[in-house]
Amino acid sequence: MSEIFVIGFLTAMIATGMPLLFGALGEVMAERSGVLNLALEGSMLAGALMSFLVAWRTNHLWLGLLAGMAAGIAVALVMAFLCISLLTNQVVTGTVLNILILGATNFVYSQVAGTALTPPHVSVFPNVQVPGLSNIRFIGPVLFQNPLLVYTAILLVPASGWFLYHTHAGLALRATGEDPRAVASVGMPVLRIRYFAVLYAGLMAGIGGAFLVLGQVGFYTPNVTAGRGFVAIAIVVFGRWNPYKILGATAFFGATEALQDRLQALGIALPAQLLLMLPYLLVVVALLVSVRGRGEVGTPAGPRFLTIPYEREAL
Amino acid sequence: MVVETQPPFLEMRGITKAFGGILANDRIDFDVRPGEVHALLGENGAGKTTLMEILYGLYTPDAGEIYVEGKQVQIHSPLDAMRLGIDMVHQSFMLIPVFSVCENIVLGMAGRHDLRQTAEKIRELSQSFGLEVDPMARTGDLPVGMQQRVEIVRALYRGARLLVLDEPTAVLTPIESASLMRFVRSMALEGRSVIIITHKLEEALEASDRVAVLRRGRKVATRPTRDTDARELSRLMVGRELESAIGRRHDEGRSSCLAVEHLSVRGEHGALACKDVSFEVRCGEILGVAGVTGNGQSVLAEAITGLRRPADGRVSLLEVDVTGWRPRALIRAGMAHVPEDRKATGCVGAFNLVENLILGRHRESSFAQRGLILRRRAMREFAERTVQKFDIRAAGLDTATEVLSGGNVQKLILARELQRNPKLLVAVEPTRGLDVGAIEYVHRTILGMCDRGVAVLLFSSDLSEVFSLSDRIAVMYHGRLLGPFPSTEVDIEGIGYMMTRGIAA
Ligand SMILES: Nc1ncnc2c1ncn2[C@@H]1O[C@H](COP(=O)(O)OP(=O)(O)O)[C@@H](O)[C@H]1O
Ligand SMILES: [Mg+2]
Repeated sequence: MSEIFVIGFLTAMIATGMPLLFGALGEVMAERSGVLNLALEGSMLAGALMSFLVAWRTNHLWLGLLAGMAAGIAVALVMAFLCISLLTNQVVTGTVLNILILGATNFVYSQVAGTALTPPHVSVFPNVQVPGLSNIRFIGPVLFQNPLLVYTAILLVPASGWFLYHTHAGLALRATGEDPRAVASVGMPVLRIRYFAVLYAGLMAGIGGAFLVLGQVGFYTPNVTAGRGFVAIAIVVFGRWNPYKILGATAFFGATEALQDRLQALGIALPAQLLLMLPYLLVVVALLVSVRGRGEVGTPAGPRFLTIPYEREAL
Repeated sequence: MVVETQPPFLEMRGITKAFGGILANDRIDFDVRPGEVHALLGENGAGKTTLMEILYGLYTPDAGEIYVEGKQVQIHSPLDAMRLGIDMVHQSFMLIPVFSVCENIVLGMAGRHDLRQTAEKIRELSQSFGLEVDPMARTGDLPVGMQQRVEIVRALYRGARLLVLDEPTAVLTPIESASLMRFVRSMALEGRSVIIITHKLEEALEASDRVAVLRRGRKVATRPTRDTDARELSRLMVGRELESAIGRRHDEGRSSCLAVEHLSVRGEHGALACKDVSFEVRCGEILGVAGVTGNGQSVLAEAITGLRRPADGRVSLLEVDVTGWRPRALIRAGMAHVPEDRKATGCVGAFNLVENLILGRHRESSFAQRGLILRRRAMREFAERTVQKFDIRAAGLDTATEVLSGGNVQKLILARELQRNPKLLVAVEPTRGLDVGAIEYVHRTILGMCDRGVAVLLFSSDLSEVFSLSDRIAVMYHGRLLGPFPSTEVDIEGIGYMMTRGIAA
């Protein structure tokens, strides 16, 4: 295999992995607080659309990113209000919200841009070279010639780890997912912690969605996320709710997606649809192999109170 | 010890709290002096926990005032309570099993905590009170008695001046209980106060300076402990005189009902939790199995009742090999089961009384046409009779079982199991968490069955229960069975020793 091919493959892996990494690093916080935020997909999709529209109209990529963040948070706020304040079922609420957002984004996009003859385009975030490192053979082009958001995401991994395992707020967050009653009994605000966690997940998914359009292709297509939010959720499980392992899991999924593209390009005699299924098939396999052993979370299926609403004064 | 004229550390006045239609607390006045051990006594559902959760800021009272050291205070959250020096060890522990002891203790505390320093402080503090804990241990790996220590040490670490212990001895062995009581006294000697919630009379009498008795949400009396006795307290608590201790006749030479031979069973983690256990229960006999929780009793009970497949060995019921049989087949063969966790496995919480009473018999022809369509009318009539006969107290037949008190749920399960005319009753912790009235009822029912020739296998961590009911007593220790011994040949101390050491004293 030529060096060009490998570098191309690794670069593609990082590019496809980024939205997943942002989403997963957000979702892990929500799940650690006990909320299964399925609306991550919706946040990501809304983030993608809004960031694109704003960037297109204002010609300003960073404004677009801000819009994407806001959209991601907005979806998460609805999710949080329903699940945390009104105690609705998290899985049902998340699923319904995702369907709603899919319809809404399709509608908005067709209203705003659907009439244009050629689909609207924006430029993408430029690569930033890390001085001194970007010229290292092989590693340089892969790791140190990327948009700023990529460095941000990678630095977020140790930052998230530090937050979860070395700060008081992280301890409280982990405790909330394991047993909110215990958290309330030491006088901490369970609902506020859960709200923050879900909104943070929405924020991160919004950035992930924005990266999908503004970091890679520069245009929007309906349902551009195509289930990446769900893959990010699967990555959280595969990564056992630990940011470092999540990085590993993301690399794995990014790699399969990049590989699938490449196999297609090489003209491997497999139906394209089958190759497209590959990452999702791996999700299933990953879930099967990852539920073993005693981990840092209460049950093989995650924090012990994941998906269970908390109600004050309830028996 | 306690100066009677001292102003109270805590005073609660006119505390009222309703849950839906139930008045859990009805204008309760209550006070605690500095350096006092105050017992809060009452049957299950009397409102003890509710009163203390209000004090601790977890529940908001509908009416009433709280004063600490003479000043009126508002307690909106546990944080407020802790600032006032009030702390509580809950009945179900508020600990995160996957956290280390140290992490559990600093959870929710303001400021930065260096874990190494904290661990050192915890070690010192726990040693000075004789409550050694390992700060680095994973909390979920500790036995319950140890977990309770963690909660107490946490309260001390936060500087509690008034410590509320909600039914603290329910999970402890006699030896652990004694050491807890010593700790409580030493805390009081330092001038701090302790409230012990309990429904056990002896405990209230033994450890406290004063006793307050609650009944159905009202406080019926407060007595200096030295001026009262078990008789008066139980009358105050239940509202009537109780029958005195129940006697047991011994009956030898009956045929074998249950025989367990070389039974080994794997537990949750795949390791053998029950190793090479053999014993026999004869018809009309009660075999009591004592043991500290977590020594393999539940796994053994599950294997016998068909909920868990044995790894090795044989179980026979009335001379029939029933090893590995499903619960339904075992029920048909004459086994009845009063499970350990009555709310989780004993009944379906959301079902009403009628549905729960016929659960497992819903295919019988008296309740279902051709085993398919339920006969509603017959079910209701049957339920009505049963509820009356067993004195199950509920708002109506359509009440969801989950809102019943523990005693009534237990009566319901016993009623259901008894109606089947079983040959063998396997009862696991049948009176855990019940109040004296309900305990008396359950005990009398079990003895009544026994008189009709039913064999009873009783698993209980309450030694006085094991002794008052059993003809023979065995002890589970680390998955092995010691005994059985005829109950006339052993005493509580001896069995207690075996429970904690695994050898005869
Ligand atoms: N959170 C709650 N919701 C509804 N009812 C409750 C709740 N907590 C307690 N109760 C009811 O209030 C009464 C008193 O309960 P509790 O204070 O737990 O009694 P105790 O601790 O003395 O056993 C019981 O009838 C119980 O069913
Ligand atoms: Mg209680």
